[in-house]
Amino acid sequence: MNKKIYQYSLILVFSFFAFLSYSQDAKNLDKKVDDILAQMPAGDLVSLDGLMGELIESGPDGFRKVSTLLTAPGVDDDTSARFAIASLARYSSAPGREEARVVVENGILEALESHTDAEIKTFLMNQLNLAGSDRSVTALKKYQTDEYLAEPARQAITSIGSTRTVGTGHVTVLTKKEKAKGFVLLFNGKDLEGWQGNTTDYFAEGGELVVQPSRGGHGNLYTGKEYSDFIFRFEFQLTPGANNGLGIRAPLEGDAAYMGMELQILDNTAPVYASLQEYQYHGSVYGVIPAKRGYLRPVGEWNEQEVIAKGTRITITLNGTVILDGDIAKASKNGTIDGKEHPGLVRKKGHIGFLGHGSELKFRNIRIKNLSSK
Amino acid sequence: MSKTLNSRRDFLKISLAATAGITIIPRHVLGGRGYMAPSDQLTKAIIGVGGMGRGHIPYEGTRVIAICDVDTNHLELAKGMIPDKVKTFRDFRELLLLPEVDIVHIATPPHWHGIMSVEAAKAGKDVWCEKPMTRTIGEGKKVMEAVNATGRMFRLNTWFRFKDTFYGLGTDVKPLKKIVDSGILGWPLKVTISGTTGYDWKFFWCGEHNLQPEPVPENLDYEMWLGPAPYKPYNPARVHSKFRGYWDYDGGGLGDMGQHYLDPVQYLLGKDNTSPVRVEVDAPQQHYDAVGTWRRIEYTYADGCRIILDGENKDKEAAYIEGPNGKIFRGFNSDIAGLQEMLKTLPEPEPQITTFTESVKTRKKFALNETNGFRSCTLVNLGVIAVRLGRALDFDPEKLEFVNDEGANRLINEPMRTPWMI
Repeated sequence: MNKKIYQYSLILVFSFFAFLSYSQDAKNLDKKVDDILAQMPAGDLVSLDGLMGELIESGPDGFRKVSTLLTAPGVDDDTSARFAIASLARYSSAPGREEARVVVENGILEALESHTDAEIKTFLMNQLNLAGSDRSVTALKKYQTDEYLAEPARQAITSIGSTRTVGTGHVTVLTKKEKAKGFVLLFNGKDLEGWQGNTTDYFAEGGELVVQPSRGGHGNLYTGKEYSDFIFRFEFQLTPGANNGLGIRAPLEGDAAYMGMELQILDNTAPVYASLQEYQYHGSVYGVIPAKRGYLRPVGEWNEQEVIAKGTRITITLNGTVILDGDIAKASKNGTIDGKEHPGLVRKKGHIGFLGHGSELKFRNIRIKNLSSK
Repeated sequence: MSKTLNSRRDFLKISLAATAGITIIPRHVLGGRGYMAPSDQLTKAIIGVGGMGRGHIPYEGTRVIAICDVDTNHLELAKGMIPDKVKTFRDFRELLLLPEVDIVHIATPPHWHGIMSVEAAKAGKDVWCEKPMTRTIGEGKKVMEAVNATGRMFRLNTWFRFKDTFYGLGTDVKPLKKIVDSGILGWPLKVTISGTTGYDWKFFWCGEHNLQPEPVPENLDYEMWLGPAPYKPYNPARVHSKFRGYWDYDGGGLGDMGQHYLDPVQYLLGKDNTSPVRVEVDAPQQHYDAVGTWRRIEYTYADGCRIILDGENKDKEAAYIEGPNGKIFRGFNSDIAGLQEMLKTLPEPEPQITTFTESVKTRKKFALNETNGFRSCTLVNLGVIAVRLGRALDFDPEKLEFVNDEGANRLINEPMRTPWMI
């Protein structure tokens, strides 16, 4: 009995000291952060960099402490906390500060979860314009349906994506393996040589094929040549709600989805597409064969896709997963699932094209291996 | 497809050119009875008729036929100043559809300049835009491309590279250009822009912290005022004449006066087709929203020429231009003996087109156009980015991007609010 009491009291005493030391640490950290914040705005860049270094050193707890001080407009004066977080984002966006950037990006993403006020969340998202990486792009995805936050989320995603084109630009080259296998580039990265149709809304920039329907053009962009059987590989980057399509074996006139075939290119996650028919989602042979969903990367990231068209068999691989493998002859034997006429399904050859539906998006690394040249 | 000849001016130019080749016919015969040559008076529309825009009404005697503003008070004030009947608009896109407008003046806050210049050019209008040309380097590129692709004429509203006494220098820029070009001062040159050399960086245009939301006045369409800028709750300190103090719309005194001060320097140094390779900064920590002060911004070109913005007026001995062999100070004083005499023998600089009317009628580029204007605005934007980020930056003047600095490169094209894009 005595022994038990002794044990309990030992535990009690131990927890008490643990608690004391914990609260002492927390107090020290609070004081340290308060001291740093009291010195904001820093008078010059040397002291600013010093303060930033100290905040980074205080790790996730330090950032957490600063972020708890954020208040909604009209509630309290959180000027120094905002000075600190915005400066951390700028500081950590400099070359050679990748480790600081991890602390800052994680801190912002965590604060984004804990704060509920839309203005504070907007402020935090704005800081990801500079401090964010692909991780933020993934984390921001869930805000794309939020009435107020969809916009700052989209802006952060755009900003994070912008350095990919502002940087040295994308270099379009075939890998050695592809070259050996007989692939050729369909898009040279510089201009639309080898393409026809809407060369106004589709243009080359920074090694990418950019689609901007606001430029006053009309119609689709097609390859100059016709193809029958082929392996077509490309990368694409969607914007929220983007809708485009890959036309194959298509004539230059008429609706390529029916007069040829349209392999859907779509941001499946956009709320406006929540109740589409299964054969309308990304990768589907439009109206004919539905594709598996759930393999697109978050909007703003690049996706890789391969389309193999061999006779009546179509195989589509998205980011390493086969999302469609079907036979168009079988799928249309007793009428197509959309109940419409698809005369294009029996066409032996035609142009490959990007079928615009008024959305902005980008393509790159477009290459093909012709399987029917012999 | 967008290159159709859709402006009155193109038609005039082509029909005149076509006739000129055949024979000279008196103009009244050409036009028929009651014909008044339209080229006698160009027409213009002004987007943004706040204080600055209303100042554009008399510019070059062209006739104002349309005005646009998101504040009905501005429209009323401007209407009262224009003798003729004038169409009023809230949405500039509707104004751009008017076929009878030759020139579109853009006098909105800078966050609108890029989009409006591009849209005006696409609508077949010549453009007279307020400085700074654009709020970002990326938007400036887009304006340059659109103006070139559509064959429009573009002028920026600063003028010290071709006329008027140049601040504290007590002369226009021409004799300075002759001296610089002659090589008398040697090379490379260092230019200082500070109180000592006759300038004012206007730090009273800094913004306020911790702005509290206030109701939007009925006369203002705040949504449209913001346009591509991020949404922030309304406060009167953000808008009309105060907008300079916020990064979302402008860049304080540097944003507002920068191109006035820097454009003639770029002209003097012969840097109209390039940009500095480095910008260094000394400034306090900057607020995320409000523009703050800075002490010094230093630009260095590849050939060693430097431009120093001395915000604290620290260098009391500073010359405006300093070369290895001589200096020119405020008031056109110099340490070179007999400079004024020498000046008489120096060749004149290249002539420039100094009225926009001439540029519009002859289709020859204005002295300060989309190309050299883009470069001098890039000077402003490089300074703004360095101050905001609080670090020195290396820049590639050919690629128009920062070297090895992802954060800085994200400020080259800042995202725009839906549905706006450029």
